[in-house]
Amino acid sequence: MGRRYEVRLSGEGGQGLILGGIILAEAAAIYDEKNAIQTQSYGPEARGGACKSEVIISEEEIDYPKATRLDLLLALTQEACDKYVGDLKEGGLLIVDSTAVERIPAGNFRVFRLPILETARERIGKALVANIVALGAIVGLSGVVSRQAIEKALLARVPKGTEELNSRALVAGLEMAEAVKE
Amino acid sequence: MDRWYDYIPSGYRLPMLLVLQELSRLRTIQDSFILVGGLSLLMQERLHHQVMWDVDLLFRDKFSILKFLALPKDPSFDIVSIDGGFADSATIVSYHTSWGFGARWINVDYFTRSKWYYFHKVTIDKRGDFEERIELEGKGINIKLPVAYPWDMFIEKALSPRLENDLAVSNDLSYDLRHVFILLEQEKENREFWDYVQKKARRFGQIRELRDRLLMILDRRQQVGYGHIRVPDSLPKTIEGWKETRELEGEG
Repeated sequence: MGRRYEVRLSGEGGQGLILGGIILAEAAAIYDEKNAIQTQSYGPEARGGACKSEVIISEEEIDYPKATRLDLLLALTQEACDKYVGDLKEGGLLIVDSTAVERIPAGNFRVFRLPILETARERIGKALVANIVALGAIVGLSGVVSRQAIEKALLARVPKGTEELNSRALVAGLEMAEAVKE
Repeated sequence: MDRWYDYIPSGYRLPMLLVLQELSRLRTIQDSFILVGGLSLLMQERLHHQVMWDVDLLFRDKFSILKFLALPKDPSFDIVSIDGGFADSATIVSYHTSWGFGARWINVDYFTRSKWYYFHKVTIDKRGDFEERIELEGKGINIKLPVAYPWDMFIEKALSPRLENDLAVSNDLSYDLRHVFILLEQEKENREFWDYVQKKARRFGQIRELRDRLLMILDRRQQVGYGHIRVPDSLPKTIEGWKETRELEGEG
């Protein structure tokens, strides 16, 4: 992956999307030794229920730190999906939570409906790790960073004793991606 | 790794130090901000882990941010506004930027929170600026900045609404909790530290809030992943005993 790859994680406040973006950027910049920038917007455009975090990853120079045409959009709410899907480039990846997002807007992109929120809540037993499940799905479907890099970036952020739960969440996302990949 | 800037990812080390040097220059023109947050703790060798560090600048007020935004910056940086405008809430006004140097971008966030600027400034006025000359990649970099004192950062982070929420939902990935527990581990047996935080919080009118919050932090440390941190058995009792007025402690 030499070219610029743009990811936006979107949903609502409290879903850990900003931290999810930070971990993805750290996986790329620290462990895969690529260029990466993570930003989040709190300005007037972010008002309302929507929350977004953007990550740009490239093996080349990043000439502009904001996303312009998304390669991958994660939407954990219908509102976020409706609001941001127009920024997805042709042939891009749209990953939506299968329970929270019912209507998929029309467009020339690949859609993956995944039970991210339910998996975090039911299978892992902690709704808060939906962001980590989502990271697993993003990495599994896009390959934007290596599996080893995302594992290391995650484990570098968690305190002793909670590694297992967070690792399970990441693996659940990776497996989910594996199951729907063509 | 033995220098604080070794914990900045290698490709980002020089750009970050150059940003800090440029901020040091700008500060001689406009002295109305303080460097706070995780980076302030890293620079004072309280943190020893590698993450993508942001620069958090706490301004005196919104007007100071506007004035700072208008200051001409070193043209070797590309500076991009991330937000469409100021994010205003009841407790915080913020504005996010990214400073690009070559292929690398450093996030520099400007914000103001009522009262907190002076909370930090009074200590910095007494203790002086952070000052260091660093030689890196053939460049001599001079940093002279007002940097929040770690014990003040402990109080600010412990009292933050974000940390309260992280505790409520048992967020083990919270970086505020991580910083608070690292400082707690370092200072738990330091009587001078506990005297300081108690007196400072009292002067700031937050002694009851800090007492309640610290007791909650200690009580929930298992749930948020820090159960391995051992504190003296007497610590919760000591904190419970913190009084709300100076007179009761004979300070008045």
